[in-house]
Amino acid sequence: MTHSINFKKLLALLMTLVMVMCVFAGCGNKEEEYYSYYEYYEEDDTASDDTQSDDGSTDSNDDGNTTTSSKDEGGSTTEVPKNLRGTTVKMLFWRPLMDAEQKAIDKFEKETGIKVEVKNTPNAGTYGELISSSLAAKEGYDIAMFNNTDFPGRPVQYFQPLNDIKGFDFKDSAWDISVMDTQKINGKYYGVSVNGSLNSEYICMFFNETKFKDRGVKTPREYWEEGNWNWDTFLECAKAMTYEDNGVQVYGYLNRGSSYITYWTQAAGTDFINYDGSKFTANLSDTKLIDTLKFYNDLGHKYKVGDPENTYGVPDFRTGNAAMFSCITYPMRKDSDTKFNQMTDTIDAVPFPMPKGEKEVALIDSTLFGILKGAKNEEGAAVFLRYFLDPANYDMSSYFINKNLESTFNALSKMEKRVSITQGVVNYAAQVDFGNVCHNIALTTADQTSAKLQSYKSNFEVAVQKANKAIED
Amino acid sequence: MKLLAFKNNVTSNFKNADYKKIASKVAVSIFRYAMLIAVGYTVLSPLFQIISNSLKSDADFMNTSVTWIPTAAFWQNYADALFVMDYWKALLNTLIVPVLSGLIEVVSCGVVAYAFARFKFPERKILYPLLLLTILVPVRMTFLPSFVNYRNFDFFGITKVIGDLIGKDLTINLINTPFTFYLPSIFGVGFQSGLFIMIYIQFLKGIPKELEEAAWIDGAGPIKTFIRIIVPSSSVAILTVSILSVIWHWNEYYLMGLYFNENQPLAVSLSNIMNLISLKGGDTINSHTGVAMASCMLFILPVLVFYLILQKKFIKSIDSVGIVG
Amino acid sequence: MRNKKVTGIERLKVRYGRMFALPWTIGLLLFFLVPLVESIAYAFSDVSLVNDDMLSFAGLKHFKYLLQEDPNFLDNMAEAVTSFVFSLPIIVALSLIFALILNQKFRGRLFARAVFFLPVIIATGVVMKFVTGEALNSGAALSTAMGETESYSGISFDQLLINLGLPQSVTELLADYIARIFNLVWSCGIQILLFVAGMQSIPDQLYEVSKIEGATAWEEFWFVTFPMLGNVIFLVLIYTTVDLFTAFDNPIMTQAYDLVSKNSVYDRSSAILWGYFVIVGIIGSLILFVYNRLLMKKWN
Repeated sequence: MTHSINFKKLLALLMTLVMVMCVFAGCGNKEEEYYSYYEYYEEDDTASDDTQSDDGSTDSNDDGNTTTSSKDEGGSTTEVPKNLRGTTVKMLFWRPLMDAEQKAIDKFEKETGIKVEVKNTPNAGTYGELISSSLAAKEGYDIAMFNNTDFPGRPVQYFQPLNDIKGFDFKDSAWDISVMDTQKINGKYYGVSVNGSLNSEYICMFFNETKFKDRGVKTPREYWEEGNWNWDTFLECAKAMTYEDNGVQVYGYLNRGSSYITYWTQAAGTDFINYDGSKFTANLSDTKLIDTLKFYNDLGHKYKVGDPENTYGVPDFRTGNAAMFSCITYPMRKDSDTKFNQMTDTIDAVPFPMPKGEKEVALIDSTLFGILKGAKNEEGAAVFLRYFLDPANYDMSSYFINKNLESTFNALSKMEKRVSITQGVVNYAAQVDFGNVCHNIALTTADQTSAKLQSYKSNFEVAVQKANKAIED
Repeated sequence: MKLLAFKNNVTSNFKNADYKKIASKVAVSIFRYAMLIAVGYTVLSPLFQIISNSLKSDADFMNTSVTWIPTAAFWQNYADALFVMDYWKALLNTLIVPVLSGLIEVVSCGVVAYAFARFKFPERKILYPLLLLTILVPVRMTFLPSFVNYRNFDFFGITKVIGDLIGKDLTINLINTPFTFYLPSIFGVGFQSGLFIMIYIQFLKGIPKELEEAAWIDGAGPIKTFIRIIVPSSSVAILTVSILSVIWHWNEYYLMGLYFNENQPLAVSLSNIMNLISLKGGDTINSHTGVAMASCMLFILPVLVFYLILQKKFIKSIDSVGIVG
Repeated sequence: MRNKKVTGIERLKVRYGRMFALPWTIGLLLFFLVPLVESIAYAFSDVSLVNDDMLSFAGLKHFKYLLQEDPNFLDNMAEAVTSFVFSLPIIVALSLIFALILNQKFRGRLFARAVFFLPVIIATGVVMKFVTGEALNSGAALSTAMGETESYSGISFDQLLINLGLPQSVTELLADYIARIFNLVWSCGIQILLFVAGMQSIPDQLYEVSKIEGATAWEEFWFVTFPMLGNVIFLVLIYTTVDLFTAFDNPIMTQAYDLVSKNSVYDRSSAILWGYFVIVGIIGSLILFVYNRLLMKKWN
């Protein structure tokens, strides 16, 4: 008896299992349909591609209708090759989309007939995993992004050179060519950025205007506007604004963190590692580099205008305990978690100062968008990126805390840009943490700077070697 | 030897002096409360800090003289946190996917553990080391191949073979569906399953074998024996595993974040809270840190209540175990 | 069925055992072994995610690199292993002591238990990142470039003590001491839970007998509680090993995970993990061996 009951139970178990499998199979089939739909359009693309070369008007009536409708709306600046209509562009994004970005995408879809699919990670920490898992599963995503801190590792591994891709017109002045040039590999672009895009993070010098006015010190903006904003006038400001206020030490200048001494080396036009577009070279013996680092060390130890051990300047700047604060432009925005918009003091920002006599350039922490290997719709992706990154498609002025900040941001976006790729190269070798290296250098006094720097020589040399090997392949 | 000497020592002390007993009792009591206070401080102070920060306004954060007690309880943080996390929806997602699969594991792991703890079958020699392996291998070690496995899922390659015959790709995409969690849980190889099986095994070993064998001889089938004899005798184990399973699944955010593109549970929202606050609250939110801390509290709260309820049962079950054992 | 003899039970046991283990075995093949084998394959290959053939065989290349060229691997390994060897007995002993305290009858026991188990809820998840302040910087903001700023809202014990008005030197000493206890207590929660559960499974009769024979609390512990906890101690050893092995602050784990998340280097990261895994496995089985041969023999 029991025997047969057991058997029945086992049978029931198996049947449920089979049912569950059937349910999945059902799920799978739906997915299937979806993909075949996508592929249908893809095939259609290639077909129309071929015919287009013969004569340009073999597209179906449907497409013609959408063209007219988008024309009716007017104001559409994007001209899209007809064969792209109905295709899908798939993007991997490193965070959930902002409302403004979602709106821009919706508008793009409407205007061009190109569908955009975005997959994102909850936070930037797992973006690398998102890209690699999507690639490993051959999901065929088109667009992803890399920072200068990911260069050259990520572009070399995952991205395609863009020069041969139809749809990118690099003569278009909207592209942020001077940023893209810094991260070319063997003469080819791997990522794009648009001038003044929301994703651009220029480096600037925030200052507390109220505090400057209170003490009657000439503000950085006044210096900047008369074309005299440089390291010397910066130091004057910093010295004048370092004082004790009822027992509270107010510093003239704080960095975003002591590991961000790269701002200063970038400003001086030098770097730990140089890159000429095809070869990396370690630059640790460069006198300009050493002098710059010494200058930075003197700020804290000799002139005592700053606190080199302060690892995060935001709260000090917010409470008014720092008169100047160098950072990326992100805190200019109202939605930034630094909450500068809640300060009672008026704040302002100017570009990061250059050494006296140097040409003024904008320093930037770059974010470049590129086309992944295995992408299925490169041309559509190119069109989409040009649109998605264009600040003209966003209400930029709504982001800034005040007009002065916005004007500084706009001024920065029009300058020539300079990017440091050192951190990316050091990260790629994965031997030392570049943040720690910088932090340790920032803490030394000027007479020790050179020795400290040399102690990392072998690490940097290995990093350069590896990076060179990476871009050769 | 050493132990024996120790024993003699203890007993002689016991016999020699009575006042020593009282003294030791006092000492034990002092020691106990000292321990409790020390641990209480280390465990509770961060929690209090989170609570206190969750009630601070931006002005309080900037005011260095405010450390523990905010000038005024700023409840707006909690309202903002509810909105930013999309709390009720995320809570529902949490219950549907991770908590449910956690509960599934409470059952499925028990079944597997029963096999390991009470039966000697020849394959056990191979399977047991594999069980240890499932415990030792961290999810991050295998997440990439796992992702690919779920993305193009086929049953032992069978679907692929059939698919090749038909000329279609029959593999199934499980990514972004709850089945990435349900399926492994059903089979007892889900998140932390190995550990739960291990816990069950160790507790099941303590149940006397005679009960079970008597049941078989009486003609009860294995499933009946399992339900009638084993389940009632292992209430402590079931409670322990339930607590751990639900809490761990509640807290899991790494895999959830990778496998799910939408409908994310609370843990993922919390892991991403600073982004979410900036995205949704933007300039209107008073203090990003305060809202983050409030979200943290809202995240802990349900699971804390769950734990406190189960804990009561846990203590009650002492007595019942005494009877059964 | 009813007429079958005792030998039949043995045969039944084999069948039942297989029956109960079957779903798990299927699951193992479907969800665990495939990724596992693949991750082993990574360690011996060059992984290129964009190629059709993801893996190309590279032999022992990555292991050679780790042993001969990588400046951090051996140091990290040494650090991880020594901290493992030191922490394991301390955590097990500490949680046993805490569990014993919690299992006694005293005023405020319920509250104390709730407090001791709090780390179970907090320490395993994302909340811990708020306790350490890490969560406030890692995801910080909509800007990729802002992600690396250090936070100001983490909980700092130094600051706490300075606020209490203690002098600097005392503060530093205390902060160090507290930080250590803090770490240990935070990693004891689950072990305490397991121990308490185990103690509750010990039949009361045993204690009654020992009381009748006039045993002291110590004797009761050594001759009743401890031997009866054999299974749970085994469990705690395994759990603690896993916990220490996979802990986020473990330098080897950090190195391997960083390679994956920052550099997307899967092959070398697999090699690191498997190398470490083998070493932990050896240490773990040594512990289990000692545990089984020496301790368990003594009690039985």
